[in-house]
Amino acid sequence: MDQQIQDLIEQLQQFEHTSSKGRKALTRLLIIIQGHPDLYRSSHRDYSEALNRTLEWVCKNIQSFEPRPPSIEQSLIRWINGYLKWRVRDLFTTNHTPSLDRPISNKEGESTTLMDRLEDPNAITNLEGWIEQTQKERRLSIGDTVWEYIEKDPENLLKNCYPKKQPECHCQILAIRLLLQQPPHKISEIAREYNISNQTLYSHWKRKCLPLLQTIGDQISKRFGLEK
Amino acid sequence: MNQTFSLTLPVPISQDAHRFAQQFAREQATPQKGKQVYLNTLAVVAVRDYLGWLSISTAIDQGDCWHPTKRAMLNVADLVLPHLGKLECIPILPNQDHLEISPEVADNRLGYVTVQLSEDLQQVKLLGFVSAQEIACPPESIPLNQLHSLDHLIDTIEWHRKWKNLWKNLTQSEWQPIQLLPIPNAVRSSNSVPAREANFRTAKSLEQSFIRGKVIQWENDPTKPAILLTVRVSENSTEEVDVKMRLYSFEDNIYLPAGLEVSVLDESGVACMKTQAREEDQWIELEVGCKPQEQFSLQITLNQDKIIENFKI
Repeated sequence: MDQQIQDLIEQLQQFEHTSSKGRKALTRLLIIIQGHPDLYRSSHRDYSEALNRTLEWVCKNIQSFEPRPPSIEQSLIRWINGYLKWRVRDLFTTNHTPSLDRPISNKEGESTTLMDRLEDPNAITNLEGWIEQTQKERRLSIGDTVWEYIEKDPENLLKNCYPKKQPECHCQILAIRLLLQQPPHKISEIAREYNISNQTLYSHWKRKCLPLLQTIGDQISKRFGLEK
Repeated sequence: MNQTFSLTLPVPISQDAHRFAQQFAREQATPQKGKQVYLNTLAVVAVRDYLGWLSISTAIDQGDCWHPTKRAMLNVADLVLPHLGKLECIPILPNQDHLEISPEVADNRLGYVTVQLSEDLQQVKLLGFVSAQEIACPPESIPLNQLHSLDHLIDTIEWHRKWKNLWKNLTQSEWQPIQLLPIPNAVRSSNSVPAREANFRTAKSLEQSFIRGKVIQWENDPTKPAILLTVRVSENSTEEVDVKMRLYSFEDNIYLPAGLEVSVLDESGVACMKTQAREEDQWIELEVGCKPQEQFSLQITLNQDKIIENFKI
C-alpha cells in the first residue's frame, strides 16, 4: 500500500492535475484514502459532510503534501486526519441545516424532525413516507400542475399528436405510461401492444412528444413565474 | 475491460445535496415521483463533487434536473459540462444489478455515470460509466458488470474537450443515430458493408468513435431521389480524427443516381478530393483526417443541383 500511494503521489507531481493521467491517479488516491482503516471516523450524523469537504481540500492541496517518516502512507493519513478532525469539530459548533431540524409531525402525531427521519438507517425505505408528509404541507405545486395537465390534456394537444396510422398511440398515453407510471413502461412493451416497431415509437416519442411536452412545460413555467 | 469494481469511488453526500433533494422532492405530485427526484438530485450532486475534485467544471443549475417543470415531467439527472455537453448521473438502489436509461435521456448526452446509493443515504459509490455511443437506440438495460471504469469517463471527457465542435455539429437534431434512419439498400442486400451493425452497441470496445446520419433531399428538384448521408468519426491518434462520409441509396431507389458526385472542399472552397457514383453503385464514400479547429465542407452534386454540408472540427 505504501508503494502504491507513493507511486500515485509521484504521478500527481509528474502530470498536470488537469491531464487524464493526473485525474486517474487522483481518483485512485481518493479510493485508497476512503478505504483506509486509519482514516478518522465519527458517529456524527453529518460526518459525510465533513469528509466531503476534506476530500475537496485533499484534491486542492495534494501537491503541497510532504511525506514524513516512518512512511508515506501513515503521514498521508495523518495529514488528512488533521484537517478532517477540524471539519468534524465544525459540525458540533455550527448548525448547517436549520431546515432539517424543523419539527414535523408523523402519522401518530408525534413530533419529530426531518433529520430524525433522514438519520434512520433505512432512509431509502422511509423516503417516500417522509416526502408524502412534506408534500401534504404545501400548496398546489409545479409537480401537481404538470401531472394534472398530462392526465387531463385540456387542450387535446397531446391526444392530437400520434404516429401516422396509429391515432390511439398518442402522446398523452405515452407520457402517462413513460413518465407518470412508476415504474415506467418500456418502449418495447408499448410498441408490441400497438403493433409498431420500437424505432418508430421511439422516434415519435423523441421527435414529436418530447418537444411538445417541452412547450407545455414552458407555459406552465411562465404561469409559475419561472421564465427560462 | 471490467475494472469497475476495483475502481469504485465512494463520494460522501454533502448536506447541500440533501437540502436540494428535499426542496425538489417536495414539489412533486406523488411520493414515488418525489423519491425519484430526491435520488436523482443526490446522484447529480455527487458526480458534480467528484468532477470538481478533478478540476472539471460543471454548471449544475443549467441542467434539466435543476429546472422545476422539467424535473417534474422527466426522469432526468443531467449534469452540464459547459461547452462540452451533458452527463447523465443515474442513481441505482443498493441491490440493483443493472442500469436503466430512460428514453427521455437517451439523447444529447456524453454518457452515463452509474451512481449507487447506500441505504442510509450518507454516501454514494460511482460504479462506472457508459458513453453515449455505446447505448442501443432505444436504450436497453445494461448489466452492471458491463460498465467501464471511471477511467473511461475521464478519457471520454478529454475526447470531447478535443473534438467538441464536431460533436456539437453532429448531435444537432437533423442528424440522427442511424438506427432511426431508413436502412440503406447496400446494407439490406449484403453483409459485406459493416456500416450499420458494427458501429452500435460497442459496449465492449473502448474505441472512441461515433456515427450519425441524415436524409438528404433535393429541395430544388423533389423528383431527384433522396439519399442517405452517414458520417463516422473515429480518433486515429491523439491529435487527429478520421471522418468517413458515405452516401447510400435507400428504399425504392436501388442504386445511387449515376453521376452523383461528392467532394470535400477545404476552408477556401477548393475541392481537395472527390468521387462519383457509377452505374449500379449503392454507396460511395470519402474519408478525411482532421485536426482540431480545422474546417471543411462536403459538396454533393447531381447535374446542376448542389448541396453543401459544413463541418467544423
